[in-house]
Amino acid sequence: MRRTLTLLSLLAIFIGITIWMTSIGPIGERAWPRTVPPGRVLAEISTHMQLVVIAELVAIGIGLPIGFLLTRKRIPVLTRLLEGVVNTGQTLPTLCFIFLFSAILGIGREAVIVALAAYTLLPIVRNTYAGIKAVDPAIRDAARGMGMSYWQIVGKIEVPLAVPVIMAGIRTSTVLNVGTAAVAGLIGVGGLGAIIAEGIAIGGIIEIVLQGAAPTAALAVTLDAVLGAIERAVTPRGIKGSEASAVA
Amino acid sequence: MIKLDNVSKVYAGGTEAVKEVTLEIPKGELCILVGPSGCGKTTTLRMINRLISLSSGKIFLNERDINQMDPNELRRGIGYAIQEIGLFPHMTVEYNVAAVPRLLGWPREKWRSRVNELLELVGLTPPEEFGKRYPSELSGGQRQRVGVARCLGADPPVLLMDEPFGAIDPITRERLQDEFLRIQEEIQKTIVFVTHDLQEGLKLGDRIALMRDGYLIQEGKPAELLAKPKDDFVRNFVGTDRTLKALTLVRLREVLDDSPPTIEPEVTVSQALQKMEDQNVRFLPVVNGDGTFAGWVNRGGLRNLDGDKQVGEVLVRARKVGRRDMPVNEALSLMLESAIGNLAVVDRHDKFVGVLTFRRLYDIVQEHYLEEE
Amino acid sequence: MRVDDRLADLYSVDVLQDIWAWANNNWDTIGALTLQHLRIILVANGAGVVVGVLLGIFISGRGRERLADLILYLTGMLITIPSLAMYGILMAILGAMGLSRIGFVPAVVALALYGLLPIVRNTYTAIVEVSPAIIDAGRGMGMSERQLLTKIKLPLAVPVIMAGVRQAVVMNVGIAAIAAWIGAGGLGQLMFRGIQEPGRMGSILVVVGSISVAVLALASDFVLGALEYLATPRGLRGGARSS
Ligand SMILES: Nc1ncnc2c1ncn2[C@@H]1O[C@H](COP(=O)(O)OP(=O)(O)O)[C@@H](O)[C@H]1O
Ligand SMILES: [Mg+2]
Repeated sequence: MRRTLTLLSLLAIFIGITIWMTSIGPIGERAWPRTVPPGRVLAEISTHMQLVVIAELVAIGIGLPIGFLLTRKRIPVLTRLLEGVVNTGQTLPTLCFIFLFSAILGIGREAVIVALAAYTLLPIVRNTYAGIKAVDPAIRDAARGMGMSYWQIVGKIEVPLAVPVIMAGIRTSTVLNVGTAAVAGLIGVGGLGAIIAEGIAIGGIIEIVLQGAAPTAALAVTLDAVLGAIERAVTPRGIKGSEASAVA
Repeated sequence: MIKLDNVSKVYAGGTEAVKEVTLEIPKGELCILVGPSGCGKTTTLRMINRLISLSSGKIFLNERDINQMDPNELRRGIGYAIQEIGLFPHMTVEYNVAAVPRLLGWPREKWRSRVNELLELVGLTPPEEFGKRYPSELSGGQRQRVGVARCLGADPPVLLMDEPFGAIDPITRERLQDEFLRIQEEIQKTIVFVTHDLQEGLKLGDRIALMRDGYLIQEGKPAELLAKPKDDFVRNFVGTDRTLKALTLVRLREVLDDSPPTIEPEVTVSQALQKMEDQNVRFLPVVNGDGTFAGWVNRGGLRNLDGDKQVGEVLVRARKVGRRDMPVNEALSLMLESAIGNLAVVDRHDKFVGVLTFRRLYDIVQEHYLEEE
Repeated sequence: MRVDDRLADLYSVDVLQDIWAWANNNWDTIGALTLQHLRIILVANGAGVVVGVLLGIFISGRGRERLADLILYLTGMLITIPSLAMYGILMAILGAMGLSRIGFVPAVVALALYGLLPIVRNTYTAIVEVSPAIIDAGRGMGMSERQLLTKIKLPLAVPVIMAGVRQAVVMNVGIAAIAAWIGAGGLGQLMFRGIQEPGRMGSILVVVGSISVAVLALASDFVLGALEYLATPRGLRGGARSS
């Protein structure tokens, strides 16, 4: 209840600010040269969403199978390597990813999407792996004992138990990426970052900055809530509040 | 020394944890607070060092109302040990033990030597080595010892101990209890000791206060509690084996027959038989010339033997003998194990000092340790 | 420049040689920019630590649970604001206050704000989660609330606070790069200059800048990790935090 209330009021604030800035324009007596028209805001929201969502889908599409395959064979070296790579990868600033891929692939959406996907891939692989590995061997044994086939165990036991952990990873990375994707605006790829950048470039026009920043925040909050709801929906009732948060 | 006068505690939630408890603990005595879980022992204890405030009533320490004293000053003068020990994990054993002395501003050399002294006392030797360790580098029993050493830190005249041996395996617990008794004999503190284990209470306490539902039900010497339970609750709490428990409180030296008839190993079998006939006994302890115990002879066994043999050649050696300071329950156990049913008792130098027979044990229990029906 | 041109360009061996050559000729520039970068982070996180730890201690006090909830929530919000937006808003606010709206000041303020959450949260959690038995033992031996804080709670919290500082600094290494965009200098300058410059020179600048930032992030992670370890008393290492 309290959660929903907070969420709704946050959304109301952010969306309200966006609409206010966009429709009414400059605050106070200081008449700034311009604000960004509504159509532009919507277009940038759409671009921004595309960057985040496509990157996330790519990362999931590649990360899930890799994470799953890693659990099939016990290769301790590989798991330790994975931990190391994930930790190092998370330590590196996302910005570096975006700039390096832009240098390699040329400035454009592709580069940004690849950078975001690459950055997101690692935690998704790790969470998939950890989620499945965390399934108690006794449960697996019990399933085998009652005559489940290999793929039945995967489909009915391992995946359902791992899904909450995986979802938690997806949620965190998506919300983070909403913020990170704003950098794309700086290098001319578009997205809400472009509006913010414009506001700053003109000399700190808070209206324009807010026109970009408020919808970014609204986007992050919304995605967090939606993915959170999905996360809760896919969490089997029996393990709510325990394992899902423990490994994430 | 410590006086609780009509003390009650009502917690914020409305729980009446302690109800009108009046209790006096004389200087140098160890008073056990015992009772089922949740009966208010911890609450009572923590009111004494003002970790919990009183709802009504008064507590006096050396005739001074503790509510008139500065709480931190008060606490620095009272040692406090708890079941969870609560050692400071970021400090070495040395600094843990020195915590209160350092709070009191003792100079370094003084607390250093005090720490060494205390670690010796609780058996963590060499103190130089244990002092440098961290709590995480100790076993459970060793931590418990550090806890005890710490509460003795500034040599407070009063100790409050809340199930200090609670979280320890039974064997280690027993050893710690024994050592604690030895330490108490040496330091003679006034101690309030909480436990839910009656056996522990009986073993350690000079007095026992039994609580239930916040009320102090009965208070007195351990033997009194066992001999004269005030009501069914107390009778139940001490258990139907209370007479056996009472035996744990009695030492062999208090009940043995210290002038039984004896014979020497050089005496002949027929002379021995004669003596048994005269004394009307079935057994005789054989005592060497130097006063040490040699073994037993019994009438049935001697009757079929050559009357000219010496007793020393035919006596039955006893596998177990009692020691003067042994609790009588242990003596009883030895008697039940032996074939003879009598127990010879020796002193520290293995000199024979007397015997205990079933008959005598029965008479004593009947006379002193049973309530009047 | 078209995508495949760039690709071809970057994968040819001589571009790597060029990058190396450029770096070799410009160590002093890279060094100066790194120092600039570090200066922003040091000032920001220095302030962040002081404010964050004090705030963390304050909200861990008795009867301040609701305030703690609120503060943690707010600092949590701060961290989700995209850094660009944060810079923009700060420019406006600082401008209205008559302070410098570009460069060092807004960068430092933004980074300090970002660093707040891990530091406040870790300080708070570490203090609140000190085992009740330890607090009880301390209070029972007559420590005052102040002594409990300085002798027990804070020393126990130091490693956790250090972990928060480490998190804050590593995160800020990346965010500080963006600050180049508002004229705060630092290694981000290489990246932004490079991305605007066409051709091989641009690529070189971007690669050198990005790698320097990445190395700086890894290095600060390592150094602060080592500090964290050193700040942990032997008795707390290896997971034993109770009794
Ligand atoms: N801080 C507290 N607030 C409210 N009730 C408490 C508190 N501490 C103990 N109690 C209650 O007071 C009663 C006595 O507790 P306690 O003194 O700890 O018992 P004991 O130590 O004998 O097990 C119990 O019913 C317990 O639930
Ligand atoms: Mg208790």
